[in-house]
Amino acid sequence: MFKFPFNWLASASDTDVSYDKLLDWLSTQGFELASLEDAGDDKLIEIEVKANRPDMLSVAGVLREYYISEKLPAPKSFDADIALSFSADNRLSHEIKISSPDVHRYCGVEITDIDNTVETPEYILDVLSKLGVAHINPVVDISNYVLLLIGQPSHVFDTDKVEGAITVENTASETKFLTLNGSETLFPAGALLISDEKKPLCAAGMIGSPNAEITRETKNIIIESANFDHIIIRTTSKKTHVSTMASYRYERGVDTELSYIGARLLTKMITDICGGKVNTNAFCYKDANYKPQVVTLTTEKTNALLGTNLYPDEIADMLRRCYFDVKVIDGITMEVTVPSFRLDIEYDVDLIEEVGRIYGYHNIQPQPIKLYAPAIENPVNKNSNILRNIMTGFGFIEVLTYGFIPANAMSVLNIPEDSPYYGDIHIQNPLSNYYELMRPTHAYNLIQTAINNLTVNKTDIKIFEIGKTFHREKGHEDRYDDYREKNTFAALITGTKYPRGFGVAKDIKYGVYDAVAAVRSIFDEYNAAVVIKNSVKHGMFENGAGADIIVNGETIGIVGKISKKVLGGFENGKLAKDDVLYLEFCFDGLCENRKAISYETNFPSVVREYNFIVRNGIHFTDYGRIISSESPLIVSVKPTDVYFGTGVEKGYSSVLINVEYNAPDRTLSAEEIENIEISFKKKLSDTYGIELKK
Amino acid sequence: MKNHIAQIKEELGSKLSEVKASEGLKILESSFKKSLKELFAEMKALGAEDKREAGQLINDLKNEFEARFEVIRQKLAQGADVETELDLSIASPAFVRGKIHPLIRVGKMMEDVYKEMGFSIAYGPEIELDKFNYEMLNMPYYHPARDMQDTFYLEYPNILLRSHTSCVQVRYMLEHKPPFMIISPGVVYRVDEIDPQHTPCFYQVEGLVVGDGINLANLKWAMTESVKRIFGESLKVRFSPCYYPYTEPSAAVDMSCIMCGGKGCRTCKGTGWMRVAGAGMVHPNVFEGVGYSRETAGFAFGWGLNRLPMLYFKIAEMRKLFENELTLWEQL
Repeated sequence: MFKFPFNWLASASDTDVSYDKLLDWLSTQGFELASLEDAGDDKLIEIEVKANRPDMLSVAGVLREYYISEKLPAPKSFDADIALSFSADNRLSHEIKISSPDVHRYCGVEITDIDNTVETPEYILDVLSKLGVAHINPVVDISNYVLLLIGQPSHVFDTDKVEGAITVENTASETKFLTLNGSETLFPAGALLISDEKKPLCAAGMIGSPNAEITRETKNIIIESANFDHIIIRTTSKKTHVSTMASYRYERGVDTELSYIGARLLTKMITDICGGKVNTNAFCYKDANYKPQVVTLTTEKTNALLGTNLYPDEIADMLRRCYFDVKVIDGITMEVTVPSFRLDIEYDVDLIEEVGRIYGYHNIQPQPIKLYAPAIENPVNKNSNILRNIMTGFGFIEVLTYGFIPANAMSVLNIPEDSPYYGDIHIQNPLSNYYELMRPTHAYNLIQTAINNLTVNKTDIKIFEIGKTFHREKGHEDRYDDYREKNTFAALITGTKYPRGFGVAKDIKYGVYDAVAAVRSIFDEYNAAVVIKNSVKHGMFENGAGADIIVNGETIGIVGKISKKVLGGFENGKLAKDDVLYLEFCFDGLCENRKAISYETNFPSVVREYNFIVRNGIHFTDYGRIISSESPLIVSVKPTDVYFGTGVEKGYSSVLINVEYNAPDRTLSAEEIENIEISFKKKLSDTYGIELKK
Repeated sequence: MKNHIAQIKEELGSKLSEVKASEGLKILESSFKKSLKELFAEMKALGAEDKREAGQLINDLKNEFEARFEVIRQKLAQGADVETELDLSIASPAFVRGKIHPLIRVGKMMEDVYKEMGFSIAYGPEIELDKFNYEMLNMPYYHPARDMQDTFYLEYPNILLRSHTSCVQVRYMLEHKPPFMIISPGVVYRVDEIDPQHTPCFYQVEGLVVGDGINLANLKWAMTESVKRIFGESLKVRFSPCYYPYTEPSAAVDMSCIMCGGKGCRTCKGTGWMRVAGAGMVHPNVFEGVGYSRETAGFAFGWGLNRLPMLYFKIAEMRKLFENELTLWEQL
């Protein structure tokens, strides 16, 4: 972001600046208006400056862009008319030693006998106050003003506080010192620090220390106008959490050539305002590796990438408008010298973007894609949609919750460490410990969602969620491989199945068999063999009311009734008066099996009902199979009710089962059916001790 | 005569109240006409004074019942029930279809459109390596653009929760050779305190098209076409320069405001436009990183999905998308 007062920009220009044109141009060039404030007769304009255009973090940069829109030559330079002779020879009162590859340029100018007790001129205070920059003293204010005007950060040392030579180097070890923001800051080893022979003076490009602070009493100063590597400033700023106007610019990149201009402008303004005597023998260190960027661009590639038919001259003209020096070599190839302030231009595609920007994206005509790329169906997407269709057909509402749950969720859900639903993947910088653990199950969030709805008297709840769960499988060579993600489906049911009215005498509530019915219906759609097998392993369920979901021999999920104890662990969990039923399974690898009609007949079926007394612990999955496999004439075996209590011996249940008989070629006789019955009843009795109710 | 008229009135009135179908009404109308004929025939036998009085009574009868016939005729024409114990405007709660989450609804609209256009769907992990989320997308550790995506980290500094689904594209390119057209929908995470307009999770649908001859004009077509197919033919799309480290040239994509159709309203701050996506030609550094030639051609785009369902379904706050007040979703 860069904020500036419009009047300042207008006064700094050597042409009339139209407020409306400026805003229009900036908004169409990717520098959108972030905010606009009235400031008396002025406007404070804040524009969004992306990381690639640090040259726009100054009034000079914005003016340059405005001049492009007006097709004007470059705006006037802010360089000051002052004779300074820069040399790598040290001719200042304190030697400056540069011993870091992170310094690309370092200009030092010494001024003696200034009067820093004078008042900062009103035009500077006006700008600083509008932008919320604190007024300190004339020298510091001028330094800040120059930064905002041309984008060159600077630092000024009180020469009388410096002891011996000034060294710019990467610190060998962690260094802690008091900074000008009033806090002791620990700078990591490798940070670029500026020190004298006794003490640190400042963190280069970031923040100073009181050790060489400019005060009203300061008389003699050394101005630093330098260029530091963006990576070292960025990494130090991130590690120390120190961000200043200077570091913000350095970490994005500052024009190397601006160091000289900054040094001269600052020197001129300080001496104009505070007086003093300039040592014209200034210091300058230059990184030998620095050279202007030259990029080769072809017309062919430009047009191929943009989908245009531009001529070389048109391309060259557009680039020249943006201050690029363009030489057309052979009619189609251009050698483009990049201005030093355009740090974002490195490759030909960067220049092509400039061409597109100036040509106008709106002038590029859309062209249909001519590409043969066969579409491939994604199984996760397909399964998600199948599950979504099934569940909405059942009247369930889809919910979406955050992927993270409270740090203590495993304890609340009573999930032991050896459970496949246990999770221990913690976020290191969570919003709070309520959002710390990556969910290994949807149970916590779905129960919480249900309770949240119960608190507003929404008591009949059928919800589902499709999303990832996160697990750890330790022992991989690469620790990243320990993280496992599963595509998981989960549903929660509580409340009324059939409400009172329309022939129903009283509300009929959902029970655990309904959750099982949902599971069976889902896998019926997949034509997959599903086994629901009671399990006591899952601590979130009521004892004996939980089961594994086994599909094609693999355990992929759970179903059951959430225990009251678990519900009680949630705030307002006691509002859950009805059974809370939950099912969850991983659907990775699940695929539909082709369905086929298994029988066809023109003859009526015969349905017989059997009331069996079944010992607890014997599962329908097993004894139902005995019945259905007894004869090909049995086309379906369906449990229609389960009862235990008065009239049924303890430890047993009364199970009502409908068996449908049919033959494709005849009406079955009572005798045929009775023969089949006799046979499976005997097998049930012999195998499981199951008898008909007397 | 008076008695005869009163008798007709009573009998017809009673029958009329039981009419339930137009056939029954026709029969009554026919019977009524017959009765009127009889009355007129009777009237002829009366003296002048009585005749005038009888004429008036017969006319009143005719007018009254013709009006009543008309009311019933209209009711029947509208299909309205006429006094029955079965009020079929009442439904039992036997069948109530469920609802798809609004965010997924809009996501599916997009998926369907892109599938029609020939795109495949690709997914990837949500716990991601810094390498795929940033480094290979031209965002080294020191890149300031990382500030745009404040990231959740797990136990190790190089393992994080993906801050966009562009990492899916990197993984896809590592495993596939061009040409291809994919979209990668999914949840992404950014460190954002929960408030009415911010959530730490949101949804993206990102796309990638790689193949010979792909250019910015194709990108414009793909974005314009998808907007028109998803939101309607009348909506316009505009592109403006933008910056993403992983594309060059890059573009911000605006479409006409779906609330006002482009006229300007509070939602679009009077501009008539809504920022809906970022896009651009894939940066050569990204192609190089996945082992392709730097001269490979391809474009990428990314839709941020939280705002669209909010506008589409008039959901007041972004956080509501994750609060799951069922009474809200039941209204969809």
